[in-house]
Amino acid sequence: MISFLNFLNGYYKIYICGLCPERFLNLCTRKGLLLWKLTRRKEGYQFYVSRKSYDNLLSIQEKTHTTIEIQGKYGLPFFLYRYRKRKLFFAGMIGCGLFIYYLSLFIWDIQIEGTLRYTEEEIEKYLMEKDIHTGIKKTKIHCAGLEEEIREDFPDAAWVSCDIEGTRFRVHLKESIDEANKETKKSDSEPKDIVASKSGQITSIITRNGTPLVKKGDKVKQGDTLISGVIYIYNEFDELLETSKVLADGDIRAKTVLNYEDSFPLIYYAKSYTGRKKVHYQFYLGDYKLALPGKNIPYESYDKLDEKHQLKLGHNIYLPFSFEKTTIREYLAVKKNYGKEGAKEKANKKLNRYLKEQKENGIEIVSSHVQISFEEGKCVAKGTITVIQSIGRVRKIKDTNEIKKEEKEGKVSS
Amino acid sequence: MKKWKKKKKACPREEPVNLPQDVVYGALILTLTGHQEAYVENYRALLDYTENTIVIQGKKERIIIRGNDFLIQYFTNDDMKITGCISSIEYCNPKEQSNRW
Repeated sequence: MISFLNFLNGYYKIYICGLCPERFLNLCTRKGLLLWKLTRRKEGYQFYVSRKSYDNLLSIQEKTHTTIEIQGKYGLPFFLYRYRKRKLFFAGMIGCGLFIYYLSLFIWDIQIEGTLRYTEEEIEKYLMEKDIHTGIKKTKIHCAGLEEEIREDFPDAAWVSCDIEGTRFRVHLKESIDEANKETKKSDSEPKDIVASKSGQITSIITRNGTPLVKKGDKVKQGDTLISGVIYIYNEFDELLETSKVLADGDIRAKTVLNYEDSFPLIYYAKSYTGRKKVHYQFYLGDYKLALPGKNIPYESYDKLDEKHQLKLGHNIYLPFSFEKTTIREYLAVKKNYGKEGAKEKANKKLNRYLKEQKENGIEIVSSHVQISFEEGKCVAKGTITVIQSIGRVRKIKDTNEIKKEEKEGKVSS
Repeated sequence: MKKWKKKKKACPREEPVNLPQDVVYGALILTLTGHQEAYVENYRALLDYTENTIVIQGKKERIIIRGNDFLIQYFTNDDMKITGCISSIEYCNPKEQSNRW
């Protein structure tokens, strides 16, 4: 800080010599002057002193009969004096500062964080509709108001925060997780059945609401009603008093069989990179692209990797300039064969990945019978996987007439 | 009364209670940090300064700091900071001062 102040005020590098230079130094301190970096040089001393103290030095010099030699002048006042004729240079410096200040009044980057169900594009589009885009003035954005609007228009957003950091506008969303609950809440008024989405054998059934029509160990077909949304109320003589319709709710898990089939050709093409590559740069001014020469690609087959960087000052001051680096790497397509062992390995890997995905979706794997065979240059993995999964699916309740029909049929059969 | 006067002459430097030496007698304060840095306060003048020796005059005493590569970082009326490699610090007897310096 002190060195910066010295730079602003300007300072001298001075050499003194004479009969008694020590007396000169002591007199300087008596007058309250600050000397720094004092060193012995030959017969005299060298030191630094501020520009304002220099006049005092002259009066002391007269008293002590020493010789003063200015060895250097440093700092802003001397710099400005040296370049006093280069007015345009200073004008350019000030202009540049003002230009950057002017640019910092606008938003040059929009960042959306925390989206899961809504895509970033969806929210960007929404912001565009609200007339918030890159290049808008910061003062036109009212964060608090916008937060409320987003919360109203995106009902799944549990928490929204908008803020401006430098020239970056940031929207942070937190989405509520219980989407299923919302669905049930929405359709609360409408009574529904739970039916089987797949054929299988029931392993567990928990009824929360409605009349269960199946029990553990029963075999069901796809479309069978598992929990009915109709509740029958009987009197003490087993006579039906009334029926009421509710939204059936419960967890039903059943052992079902999944068919697994996967095939891939034994011959494939692998990329063999030749090591030759080309790098192109493109410059963007906002959305306007300034193409630079040297864009033709001499390779037959190549990988292209684009990296776009937005220029910024410090951490948060984004500028409307960006450059794109394109790296082009040449490769040769080499024909390869998996071989039987390699193909089996790959098929097993694919099967394991499939099983893992199923497990992540909450499906329990009981057993898998998959056989790997080779047909016409293809590796085919075929078989069945026995799993335990939840098979309940809501469906609109059938009409009362249909229910009566079903009841009649039931009586006849009994 | 006479007795008291005699007593005072016999012990001229009796310390006043709870007052630091530098305030009462104007003693020189020398603060050392390792052998690379010395911070001097309460001095009268700088008598000599070369790369290997610095002689500082206090109110009552005089000290000679010996070493090499000395540089006075700053020098004001109240304090100074010396950097370099200090090898010894010597106090001079006021009576010998005139002979030595």
